[in-house]
Amino acid sequence: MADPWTEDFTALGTASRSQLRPMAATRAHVLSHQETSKMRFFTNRPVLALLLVLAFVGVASGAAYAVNRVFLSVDPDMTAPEIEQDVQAQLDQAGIKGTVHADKSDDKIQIAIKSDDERLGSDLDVDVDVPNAGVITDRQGAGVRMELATVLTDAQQKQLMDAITGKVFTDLIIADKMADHHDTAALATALARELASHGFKDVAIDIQPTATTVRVNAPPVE
Amino acid sequence: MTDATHNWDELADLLGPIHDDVQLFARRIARSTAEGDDVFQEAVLRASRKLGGLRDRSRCKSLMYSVVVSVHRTRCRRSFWKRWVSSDERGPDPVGDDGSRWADESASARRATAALATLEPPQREAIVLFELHGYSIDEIAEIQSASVSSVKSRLVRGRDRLRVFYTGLEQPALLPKPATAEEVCRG
Repeated sequence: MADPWTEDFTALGTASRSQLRPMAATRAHVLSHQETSKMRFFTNRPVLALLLVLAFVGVASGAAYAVNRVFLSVDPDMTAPEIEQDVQAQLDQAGIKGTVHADKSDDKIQIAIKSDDERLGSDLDVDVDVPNAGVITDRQGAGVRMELATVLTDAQQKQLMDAITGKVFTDLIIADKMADHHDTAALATALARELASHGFKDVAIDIQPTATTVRVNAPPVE
Repeated sequence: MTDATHNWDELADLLGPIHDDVQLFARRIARSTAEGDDVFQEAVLRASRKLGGLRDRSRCKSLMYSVVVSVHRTRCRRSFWKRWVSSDERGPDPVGDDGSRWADESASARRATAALATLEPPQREAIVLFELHGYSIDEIAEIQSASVSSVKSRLVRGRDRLRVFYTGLEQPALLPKPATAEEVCRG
């Protein structure tokens, strides 16, 4: 005896074939989307774009790592545990040992990757994949990259994360991104001053159009 | 040749043979043709970015279905989704040889969509893949990144829920409510 939905499913199967989009339409969508993704992202999600904070805790030296790039993709619509699981899986797939921790609020995603794998640090790229808006990478100015050139205790790491993800620090970056003219020297000074107020007085801040990197050279001074 | 064009060419080789099937799957698990097309387009964009990490190209088919599943569930989790997408959208009439049957078939298709909308997303995906696309339980388990027993459970519960829906058409008091946002998130 047929199930009561058999005929309806057959009809649905037929109806869903009506006016299928051809490959050419898919191609046009993909190509146009890739070309405009940056602009659309900043228009639609300006705050989120700027508040992806990456912390590479445990990197003991800031040497340039001559290895292949590692690309991670983050879907901001996932929950924090899902992001953690997803990023962890991507690291595992890349053969990198690390522990991922993610925090998420309405307008901010923080991802901390603890690892002593030297391939992390300057050779890790993270894409933020925003449905219907495109992809932004942290190297396009979407986030703050934190590198440690010294050893910090867990409490000091938390102190540093709190400073970098704090409202003052992130507001400074947002204001600069929104400005018509960018004064990177003034921004770097202001960011350094803010970190110094949290005890981190030996830092180097590199602000490039493609990335903002905070390098911590020494533990905080009380 | 730009990077974007190069990426598309690489994707097109893999997507070409399964383009229509994956698009159909997206339409069938969605609440409307338009929603399904959005899910499909979004899935293609995501897939184009994952290509670099796909070492085994023979897995492209299951990857594409998996990405559609992921996009579908992400959209279902959005609180505003249900407010703005109507499951009653009337799409194009189905194509058939007998023009007089178009209205009936269209109503029948909409009834199937309404029935599927009462299922939780994982059940809906499993039912559509099994009943409409003819996939085996093992294949569905791979697409859904789930165990075989989970897929079997989804099929059994999904069919139970469909049965309740069709029974309710004759006895409206028994009709189940569409899956809530909380149920959707549970996935």
